[in-house]
Amino acid sequence: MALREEPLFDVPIPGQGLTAELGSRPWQNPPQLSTVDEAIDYYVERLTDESAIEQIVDILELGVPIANVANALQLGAVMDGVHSVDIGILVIPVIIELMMYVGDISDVEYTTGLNKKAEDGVSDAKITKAANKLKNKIKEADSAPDKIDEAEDDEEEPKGLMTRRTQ
Amino acid sequence: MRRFNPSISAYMNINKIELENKKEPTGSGLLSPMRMPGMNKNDKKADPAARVAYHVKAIREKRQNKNGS
Repeated sequence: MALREEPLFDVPIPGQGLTAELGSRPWQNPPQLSTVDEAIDYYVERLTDESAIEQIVDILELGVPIANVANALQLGAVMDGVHSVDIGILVIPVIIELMMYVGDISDVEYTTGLNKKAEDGVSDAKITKAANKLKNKIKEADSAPDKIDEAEDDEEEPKGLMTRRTQ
Repeated sequence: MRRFNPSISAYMNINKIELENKKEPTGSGLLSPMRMPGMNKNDKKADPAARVAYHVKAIREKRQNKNGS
């Protein structure tokens, strides 16, 4: 890791986030929506809007997992003081299902982000394929040991001043 | 590394909620407990998670109907 030459002072100091006056942040005030039903209505209204549908389709086409988008949406609403964290977590399944519905209506192939094995980076098929490739390479190397011996024979003798003389 | 995403567990857990109320056998004698509206502790509609599950179920059914499955 490269070391920083000069110390960076232009960053928030520890605890600075607690220095704002209590109640000055949206999430420090009572939320606008206090029940699950109100929050569901809020999201249904927002996500079924035409401009919102266009944006959702664009995001889904990019291959962003729906679960991540849903989490970001509810987290944003919590930060804006729309609803509490608890209600946000409770409402997530509705947001996911709504976005899947929007994706189906628009005939977009989307990734839900819910299937751990299939979407967690490297699939089992890829691992098996790589393992087979490696096995083949090892087999090839085993079947041609002469090459290695030749390489060993071709080692150059040291010619420096301090080398031992061989008679 | 996979970071924790609460939306995955929230979605998975909502599918586990049973939406149908189980009917408990109640006596009809004079000393049987009174049944008042709003007193039913097993009423699923009072539970926020169950209400969410109802909504999810409705949207899913509509989605599945659209897909024809």
